[in-house]
Amino acid sequence: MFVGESLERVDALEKVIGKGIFAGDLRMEGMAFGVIVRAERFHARIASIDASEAIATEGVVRVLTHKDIPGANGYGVLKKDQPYLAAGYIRFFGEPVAMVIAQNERIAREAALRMRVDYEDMEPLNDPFLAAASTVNIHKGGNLLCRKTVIKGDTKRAEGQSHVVIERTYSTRRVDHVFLECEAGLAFPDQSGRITVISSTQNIHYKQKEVSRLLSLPEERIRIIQAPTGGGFGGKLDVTVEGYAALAAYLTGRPVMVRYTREESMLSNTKRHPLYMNYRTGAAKDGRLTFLEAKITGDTGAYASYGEVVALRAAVHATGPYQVPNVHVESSMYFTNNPVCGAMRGFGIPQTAFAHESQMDLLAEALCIDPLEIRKINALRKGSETATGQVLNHSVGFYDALKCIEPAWKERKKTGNSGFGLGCMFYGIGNTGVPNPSACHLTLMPEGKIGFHLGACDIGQGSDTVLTQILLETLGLEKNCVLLVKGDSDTTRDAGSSSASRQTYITGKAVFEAGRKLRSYLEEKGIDKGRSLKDICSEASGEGGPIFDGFFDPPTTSLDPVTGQGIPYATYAFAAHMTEVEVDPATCVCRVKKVHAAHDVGRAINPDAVRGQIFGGVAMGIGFALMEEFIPSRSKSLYSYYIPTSMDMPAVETYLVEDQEPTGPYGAKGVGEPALIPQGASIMNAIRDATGIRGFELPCNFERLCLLAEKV
Amino acid sequence: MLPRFRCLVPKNKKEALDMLKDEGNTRVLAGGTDLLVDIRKYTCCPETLIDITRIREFKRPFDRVSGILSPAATHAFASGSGEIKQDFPALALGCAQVGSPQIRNMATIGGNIANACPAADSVPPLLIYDTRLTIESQGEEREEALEGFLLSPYRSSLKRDELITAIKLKKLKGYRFGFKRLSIRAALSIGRLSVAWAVKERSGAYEDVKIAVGSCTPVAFRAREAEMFLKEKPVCGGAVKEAEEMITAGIREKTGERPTHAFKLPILRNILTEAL
Repeated sequence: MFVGESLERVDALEKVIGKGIFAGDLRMEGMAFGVIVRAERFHARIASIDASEAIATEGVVRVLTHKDIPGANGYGVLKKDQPYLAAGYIRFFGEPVAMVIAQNERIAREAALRMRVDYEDMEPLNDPFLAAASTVNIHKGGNLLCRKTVIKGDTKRAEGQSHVVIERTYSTRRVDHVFLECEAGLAFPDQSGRITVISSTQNIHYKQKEVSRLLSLPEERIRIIQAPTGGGFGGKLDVTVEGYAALAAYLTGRPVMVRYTREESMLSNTKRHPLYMNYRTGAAKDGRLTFLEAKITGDTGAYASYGEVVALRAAVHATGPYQVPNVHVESSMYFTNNPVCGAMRGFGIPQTAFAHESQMDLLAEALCIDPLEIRKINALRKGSETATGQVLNHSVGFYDALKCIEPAWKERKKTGNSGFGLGCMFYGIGNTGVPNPSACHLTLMPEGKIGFHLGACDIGQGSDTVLTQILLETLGLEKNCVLLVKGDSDTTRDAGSSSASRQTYITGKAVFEAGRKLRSYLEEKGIDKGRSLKDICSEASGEGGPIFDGFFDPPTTSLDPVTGQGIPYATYAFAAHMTEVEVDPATCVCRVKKVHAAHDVGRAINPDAVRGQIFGGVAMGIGFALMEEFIPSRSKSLYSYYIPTSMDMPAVETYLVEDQEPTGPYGAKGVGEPALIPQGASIMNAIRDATGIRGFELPCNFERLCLLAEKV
Repeated sequence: MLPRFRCLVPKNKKEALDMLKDEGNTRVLAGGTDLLVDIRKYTCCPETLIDITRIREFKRPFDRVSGILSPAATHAFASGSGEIKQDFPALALGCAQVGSPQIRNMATIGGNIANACPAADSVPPLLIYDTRLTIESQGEEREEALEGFLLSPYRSSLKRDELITAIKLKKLKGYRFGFKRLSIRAALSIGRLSVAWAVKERSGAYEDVKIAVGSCTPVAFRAREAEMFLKEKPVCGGAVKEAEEMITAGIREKTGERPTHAFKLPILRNILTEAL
């Protein structure tokens, strides 16, 4: 038995003994280094670029600008609007202008400082509301990236029938991913001119397509390999160093390494979207929600990246995990001259969870109902209909999650400066209302092993281990008979991105399908009748080596463009967190003491891995709620941008609910993002309980809390 | 990337003072937890570093009889030593909150003073113990109170060829001590406000009070006026509030109006109320 066991991670040994070589540590004969020169302007035209001094530096190989790009100078997951190197126009502080390639990193960095760029400054649009009203457009099509709506029932009529209506506005700030390993990649041409990139990434096949466009080479001339990756959280979904390393290797004909310092990473990488959320929620006297209206305004920064996805996910999940018969949500994203905001763990929902969970507590207060009780009354359950009109027929373990934390909630004892709060969430697994398939394949290797060809990127979350467990369970074979061949666009199929908490569910199901095919082949060949795997493998190689492929695309429908109605996800994860905080009345500093976290994951393939995700989510949620705020041009490094340390980590009690998902592998769904989403919201409710003060703005650091306390 | 530099390791005080005199573009390396950050950022580009942590005379971190701390005493020592905890508890509390164990193992008290950072955590506790510094250069020696030594952010009266060679603290008997620091997270954070205090009471009145405030003004300061005012005032009553007003008014005077006062000053008042 492999499923449900906390198997040791398949990469544990190489990580512990330092054998896994991260991209930034790769070396090759004749390798040069590339450094990106970035604009220190928010909004400007480039008047001139003078590279003469940089080029004259001994050891400098070449300086590149946008004119050197052979293919398309634009990337982006949905809209290819972000230039690799600015073509005369600067839209954010940190935008790449040129690239210096030199014999070693020191020379490259010093020469980069000698680049002279003159600008004609323009007034920056640094606020989404300003961008909405302004006649100055950052992009030709205007400052509105997208507007997504979810409309169901009649909110106006429902308002008339409500006993209580709560209206509040919530806002959150820009947050950096701060993955442990900064972006790094090595690109090199082979003798045939084919370009290989080895990088720290969450998606190899997508990057293969982007690099192919950049270099104007067919996709088969590009090979992307994933190096061991130290975290991503969505920040390694967009093209980062891959494009620059590939471009430089292609143009110079030699291996080129591009690796960012933490400062460069923070300057260039996408951020979590700041959202402004106006919520109006109504409830009947008995606590049942009657309607919800939400107007969400987001700042997507200078380029589109995943802004549209975040706007849509925020709209679809605006209600939280509750039944709301009448819904009207409008979610808009605007371009500004701020850092590009993109994918980050939760895709907009940690933000909306802050809003809907604060609203639930405010309603409970107004109606004199216990906060847990009002959530139980409204909880999505089997047969419930979501805001998009989707009827949930299976794997809806939210009520069970609430029941898990109920004893702790009932036994809570407020002492001195402590307070308790709840936070809940639901999260659609996989991409929203679009096909997002995964494929994988298995081969029989002559030496008697099964080749497990996996294109899914393990970025530290442990997908390699979990997917191996699914395969072993399906095959019913020993652990050591599988050889993982992974993260290489040459030898694996497209398993989509490691994002949207989708790898266990979607790729896991593809692995299950492939495993079943191989299992019946092995049975046919007599594996159960005493024939060895080695025997079957060597016979198979004589037959030309059969391939067993697996494929899964979760059943979804596209959403109605006006009403947002449809089936955006095949399944949802659910969670409830209860947090205890302590707020020092003198300093207004909040410390998180204890978290109870209940998650419906369908089936925990590897319970320890699930717990690991929950612990990480709690830590990230503490940063989101209490500390993290990325201020462009001021948040330059970890010296001024604070994330929690181990000393801020509370005790965490986990409860795993397993309401199995029939379409998932062995009933599994996902937990990567759900682990984070309810945490910030539960802290804010706990602060209210501890201090009597409710914060409407994140992060709720001591500055903000003190100012709120002064007002009271 | 860290630029290249040379590092000299003098064995004794004389060698160090000679090097300071003779070498051109130098900086003293006394742990380096601030200096190396600056060098990496290119905000300071010395050709030579003089590592004073292996100097023979500085080996003994603390002499209990004289109350003298070695400038090379680390924050780990100052926060962990039983003698310091007994004799100078506020210093032990302040040093315990600096950075992380790794930082505290490297960072020295001498370095913390000489760097003259307004947020230096050892400084407010040292101020309440009326700390005096012995400062030497080749052939010369002078003594100066820490209170006058710090001039402005990252500037002190230390000349280029001078070295802090001893840190003398005055033992206070019959006081209760405390240190409180405002920071956004539990470790590895810059103090946004720090307060050290020593309070001696006798029959319901303040006999003597010492208060030092850091991270609020360009230089950490002793609240002399409020200290004087509180003398002989009853513990219960309005005196504490008045003293708090004096301190916050003094800060406003020193810095001019600052936006951060909106939260810093109320928090400072709360801390002082708790302390007194």
